[in-house]
Amino acid sequence: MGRTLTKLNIREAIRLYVTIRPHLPDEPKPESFILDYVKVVISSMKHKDPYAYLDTVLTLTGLTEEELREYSSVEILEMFIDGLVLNQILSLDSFCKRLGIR
Amino acid sequence: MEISVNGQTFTVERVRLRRWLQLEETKSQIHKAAERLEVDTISDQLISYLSAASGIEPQVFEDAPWFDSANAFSDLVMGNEPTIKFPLLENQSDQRGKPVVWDYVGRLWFSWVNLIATAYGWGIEQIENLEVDTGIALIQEILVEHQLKREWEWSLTELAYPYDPGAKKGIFKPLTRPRWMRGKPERIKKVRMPLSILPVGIIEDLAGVGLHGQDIDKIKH
Repeated sequence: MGRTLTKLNIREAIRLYVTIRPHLPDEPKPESFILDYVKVVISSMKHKDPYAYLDTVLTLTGLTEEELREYSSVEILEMFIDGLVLNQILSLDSFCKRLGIR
Repeated sequence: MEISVNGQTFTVERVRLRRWLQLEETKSQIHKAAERLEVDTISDQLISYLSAASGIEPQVFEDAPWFDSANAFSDLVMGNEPTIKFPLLENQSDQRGKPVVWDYVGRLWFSWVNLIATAYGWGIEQIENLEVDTGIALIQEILVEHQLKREWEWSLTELAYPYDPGAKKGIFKPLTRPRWMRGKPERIKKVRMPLSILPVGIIEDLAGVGLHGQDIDKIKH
C-alpha cells in the first residue's frame, strides 16, 4: 500500500512540536543516530502518553484514524520515523526552542 | 536580501522605521505566545511577521514547508537588525517594568513620532520612511539631549543637595540616568596583598564549614 507523508507547513509543524515536545530528548547528541533518537521518543510516548504517538502519525501522514487502520503496525512505525526525518525534527526542535516554546 | 520559499526566490528590501517597530512588536508577541504555549497565536504572528517583513502574500507561507518559513523568518530577522549596536537598545531592562495605564498596542511608534516631529518638525510620512539605523540614532540623540537638560535643571534645585549630617552641609546628588546611559559597571580589580599585612600563624580554612552549633564549637576549641 502506498504511503502518504507530507512536509508540514508552519502551523502543522508547531502543533506537531507541541504534541511531541514532552517526549524529545533534552540534549540530543550530535553524533547520535536518528533511530536512537526516535527510539527515545517512542519509548517516552509509550510510557507517558500513547495517544501522542497516534496524533503524531495522523499529523505526519494527513490520514484519518479510519484510513490508518488499513496499515500494519510496522508500516505505521515506518511512517512515524520517515515523517520525523522528512520534517527535520531536530531542526524543528531547535527552531521552536529559539521561539521560546519550552 | 533574497529568501527562498517553496522553490521560489524573492528579493526583499530592508524595512523602514515604522515597519521595523511593528515587526519588533510582532516578534515580542510571538515570544509571549510561545511562553504561554498558544499554538495558533504563534503561527498567526509568525505568518504575519513573514508577510509584513517580505511583502509576500501570507498564503505563500501557509503553503510552504515549515523549514522554508523558518529559514525565511531567520533571514528576515537578521536582515532587518540595526547595523549599529545602539546603547538605547542594549540596556533597557529597568525601563520595561509595569506598563503605564495609558499604554496601548503600537504606542512606541507614536511616542517616537512625537519625539522626532517635536525635535525636527518632520511629518509622519517622512519619519516612517527613515532608515532603521537613522531613526534609532536620532531617537537616542533626542533622549540624551532631554536627559542632559533635565540633569542641568535638577542641579539648579535644592532637591539636588540633600543635607548630609556627617559633612554638615548639602552634598550634590546627581539625577539618576536611564540604564542605557550608565554603561556597564567596572569590574573590581584584583589587588595583590603584601606579605607583611597577611595574618601570621596557622590559618584555618573555613570554606564549606556550616557556621552553627557544633561547627562553631570546633573552631573555638
